[in-house]
Amino acid sequence: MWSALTLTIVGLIALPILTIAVKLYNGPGESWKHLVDTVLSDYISNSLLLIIGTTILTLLFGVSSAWVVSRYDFRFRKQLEWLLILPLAIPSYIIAYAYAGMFDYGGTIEKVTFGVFPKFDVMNITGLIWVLSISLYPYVYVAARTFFLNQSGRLFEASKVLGVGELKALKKLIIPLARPAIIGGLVLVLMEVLNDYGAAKYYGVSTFTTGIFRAWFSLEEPETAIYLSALLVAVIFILLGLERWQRNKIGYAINSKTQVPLIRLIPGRKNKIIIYLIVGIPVFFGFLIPLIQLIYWALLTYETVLNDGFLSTAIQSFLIAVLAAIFTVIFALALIYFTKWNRLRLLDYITKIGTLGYAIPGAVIAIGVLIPTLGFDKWLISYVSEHFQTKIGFFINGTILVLVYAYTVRFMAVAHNPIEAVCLKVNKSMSESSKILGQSALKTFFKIELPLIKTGVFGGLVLVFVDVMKELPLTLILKPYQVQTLAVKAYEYASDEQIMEAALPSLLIIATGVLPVILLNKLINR
Amino acid sequence: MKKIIYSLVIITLLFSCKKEKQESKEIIEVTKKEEVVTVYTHRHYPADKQLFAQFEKETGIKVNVVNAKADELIQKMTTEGEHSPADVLITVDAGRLVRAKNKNLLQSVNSEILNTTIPSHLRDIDNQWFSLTKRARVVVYAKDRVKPESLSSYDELTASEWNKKILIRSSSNIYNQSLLASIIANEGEEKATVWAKGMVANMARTPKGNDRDQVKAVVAGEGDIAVVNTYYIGKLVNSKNPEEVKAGEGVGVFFPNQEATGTHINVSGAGVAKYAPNKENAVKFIEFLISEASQKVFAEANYEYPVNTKVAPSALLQSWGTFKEDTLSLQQLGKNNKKAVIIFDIVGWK
Amino acid sequence: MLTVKNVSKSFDKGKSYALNNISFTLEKGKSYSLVGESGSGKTTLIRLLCGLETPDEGVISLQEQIVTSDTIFITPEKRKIGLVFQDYALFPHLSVYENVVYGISTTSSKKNRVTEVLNLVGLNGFEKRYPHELSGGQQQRVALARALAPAPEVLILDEPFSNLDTSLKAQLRNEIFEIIKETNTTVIFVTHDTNDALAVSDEILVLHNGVLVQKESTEMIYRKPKNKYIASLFGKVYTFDDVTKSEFGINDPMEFCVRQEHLQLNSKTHYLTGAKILQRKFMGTYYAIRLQVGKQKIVVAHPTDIKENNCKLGFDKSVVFSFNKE
Repeated sequence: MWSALTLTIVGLIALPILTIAVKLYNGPGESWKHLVDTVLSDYISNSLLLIIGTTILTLLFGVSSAWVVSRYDFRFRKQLEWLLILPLAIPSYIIAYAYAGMFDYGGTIEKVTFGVFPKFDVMNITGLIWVLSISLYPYVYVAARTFFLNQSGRLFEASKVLGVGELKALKKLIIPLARPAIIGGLVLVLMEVLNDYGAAKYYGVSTFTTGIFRAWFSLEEPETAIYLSALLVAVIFILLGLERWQRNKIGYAINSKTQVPLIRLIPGRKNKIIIYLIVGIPVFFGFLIPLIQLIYWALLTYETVLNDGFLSTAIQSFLIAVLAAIFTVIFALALIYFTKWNRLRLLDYITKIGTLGYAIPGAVIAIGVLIPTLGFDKWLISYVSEHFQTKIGFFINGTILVLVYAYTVRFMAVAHNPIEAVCLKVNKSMSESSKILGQSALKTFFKIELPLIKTGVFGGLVLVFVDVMKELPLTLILKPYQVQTLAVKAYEYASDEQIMEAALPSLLIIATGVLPVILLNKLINR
Repeated sequence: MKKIIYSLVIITLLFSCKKEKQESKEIIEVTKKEEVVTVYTHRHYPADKQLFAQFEKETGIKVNVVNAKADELIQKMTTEGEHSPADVLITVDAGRLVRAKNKNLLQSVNSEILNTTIPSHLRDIDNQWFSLTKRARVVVYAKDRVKPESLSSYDELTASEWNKKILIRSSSNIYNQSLLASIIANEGEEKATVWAKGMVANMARTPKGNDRDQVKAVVAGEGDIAVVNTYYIGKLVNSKNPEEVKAGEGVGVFFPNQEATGTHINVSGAGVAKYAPNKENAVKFIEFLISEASQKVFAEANYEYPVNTKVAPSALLQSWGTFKEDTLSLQQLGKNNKKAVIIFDIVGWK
Repeated sequence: MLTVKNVSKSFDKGKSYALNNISFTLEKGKSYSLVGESGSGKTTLIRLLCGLETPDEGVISLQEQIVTSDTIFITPEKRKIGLVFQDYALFPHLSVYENVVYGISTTSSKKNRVTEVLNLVGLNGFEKRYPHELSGGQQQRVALARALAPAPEVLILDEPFSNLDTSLKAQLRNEIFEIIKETNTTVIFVTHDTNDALAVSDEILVLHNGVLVQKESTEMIYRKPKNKYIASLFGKVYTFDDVTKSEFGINDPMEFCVRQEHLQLNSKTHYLTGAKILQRKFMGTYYAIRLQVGKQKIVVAHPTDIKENNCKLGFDKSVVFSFNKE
């Protein structure tokens, strides 16, 4: 029975991605050659520049701030610890708008400095790298900090005993050992970077993703768009492969039993300034600046934006995100445990496919979901009309179900990775001894494994929730008409060039994201 | 006991899925009973919502709205096929309507009201779609630096006089695609390529931002003139942000091509979906939107030019003067859209 | 009671065998030690017994019922085998009581059973504690109580004392085996320490490179090891081929060995060869005398110091092992 269930679930998750893969088989559209001749090199070089730039900046911000808050004790450390995660709650396209508005002609900076610091052009690739890095570095920060807090205490003790100084230990020991964790976070950053559409489009930088939309909608060649996304997915595959390869190369784990808390140092006066700079810069530029800009805009526009519909939009967004988070986590758990129970090699590979959704642009996922679900709906309609002589409408399409399904596919990796990471930490002998004590796999899961991995499960819930709150392209295509989300609302305003009006829904997205992010931080600390 | 709890958990999980399905079913059943019209629209303006509510009030027909980009809506309708719940498709660009027509997503409508109210160049030859409102793609200039007399046509913008002075947004934008498509239709592909190349050479900066940003850049002196949509100037002038108002008021509006084919216009338009479950309601709905009362709402609230000739534009729009519009069949825009994109790629218009 | 027949297991599709054609039978109520160095296949064997792995070939049956074969596989939760893990594997989020009650399937007397086994291991009163609040020895006992609670037919202890201090170890080991003896459970005690094995078990099974090389009572295996490897598991063994040949007139193509503890210095009755003393070391109850005998260097325990530079080395004929030359 488990095998059947596993296959169903894995199949459901992999279906949209396989659909796209099958479409790929039909070949690209006729403009493919034209694209290769004219703009493809631009897409590639811009995307590469973005990858390199954001890699450097997110590592710089993420690792340095993670180290400082793990190693030193200073005033407001506790507050800064969670403030550092908060940029994650702001969609990067919103940060992009805020920055543009800030540095614009007559923008906030110009006004505040009375024109001394005039217009500064952020709307180019450098600005885009900055905006994406400052909004995405928390992925690296969270991964690095978790490692530093859990693992580095004992390592430091060992190296101190050997008479090795702080800096050398950091360079030779901590950073190399933290590398798998840090790179895990970096891969998430790069996937988001390659997936970004809103910010790149607004800043006029043509990337793979803007190219995908252009090929699809302006050239009317979905085949070409899917081809471009396949190229993009190939890039991501290479990145993932590199990560796996380096993880295998460093095939060691640190015995979790010997965890020793890292003792925090009290910094000297000179170091204090550096420390506040290291944690202050990301918080200031990634969270406070955009927030202040948004609040200013919201104050200018709240009268028109705030109405009855707004509250119900907010509630709907929240409920959808909660529902999607729960479904995604359940499916992620199912993927991890069903494959474990079944011991089928093949399932491992299909599971890998299942977690690819994060690498594929939301709009493409939407199509991958639309094609099979519509097929099912059409079959159902004809089946019902044949056997029951009644006409029914779409069963799945245009309902929350299809939206939640698409979110599940898209964000599977977001839930899967933290849960899997925690699962790996749980000693195999735990579940084995439960089995030997006569308990079934299911009871073992509920009584032993689930309580042990609950941090990972909760982390997955929060991350998916925040991501769904921000999600745009997929929601636009698949949402039922009765439903409105904050992200869609913000987008509607922004696409009508009413960026100021978009501020209020954006602020609410941030607000709903902040609380779970703080909870997540509490969890890491424990 | 424990076993019972587990089975309860599983049952509730299953049940919650089921319940959801039931809800969706209910929605379908409910919508079947009452009179409805399902509108797939790219437009998401308060004015539209106000009109939809008005329509519901007057006719008792419920308006279901699916809001998304036109391209995505067309894609959705294509995949949904004959089971599509869409009755009406509304886009902010004629090109997209033509595309929908070519993809066999619309159907002909024979309505006396529509045919007489809307000028022929603003509707499809087969009456598959109808314009609702118009926007003109004009040249705005810095009032302090540019004399309007020095402006004449789109073509003239490629003259060396404007070298490094023109601001215009990215070629991904449909308005630019339509503009180039109209030039292809009027003057041929070769001339269009030369024009696009000349525009790229004269750009003050790499295209970025939206139409509003182009206007702001003109006022800030990054360039002297910009090609933008009248609608956004209206938006700027009426903005909540004093800086934007300043930007809107700092530029003058010039209608190009008056001596030749006329100023290029973009239209918002609507068509009845091929598989519309509620065709009659759909026609009623479109007729309602071009009625004088509705057109007044569009004109006043949304800084757009009405298609109903009996309705005057808003005061602001009137203050820019009247103009001759390009009467090129909008059909041509859709037809040449792809060519336009390819030309943009070739000449390196980002 | 527990029968293993022709069991083989390979983790690399037959290139090498973790277990190669293992067969043996265990009797009810007896305690067995499974001895071998790491990599000898001990862990694989107990995982097969528990049903945590499946063999490539062979049959395992428990109480006349086949639990593993080509066609039959009883899952671990349905076998009546208990296992105490090397790292105890106590559930960290459950209290001592919850840990112990976890595997009890009878509905009526759960609480009594928990009290009973906790009594047995001397931990009553600890029910509400959590594993991290216990010392290593206490955790060990909880693990044992938990494994005993469902009353398994066979109890396997996987290197249970490797995480404990030496001082604690011997005492705890003896206590635990007394407890188990009381329950009349068949025990398999996995260890690499032959002293432990000798101290607590009735029989010893020696695994070497995936092969079961000997299964015999503790005394027999000590006295009559099948080969030099097994002999050396119980302490240092020296080869005296030349001496035995000349002195005892044994002239087979064999290897002749003697345990270190059977060597005697300056004995009246046993004399074999002269030896040069290299070093003397006072060890408390004895002196460790380091000798040069031919080309060999040998250490012998002697009750007193020997002042001379030379001495005589000897042993009884009965303590000589002979093995086929390898």
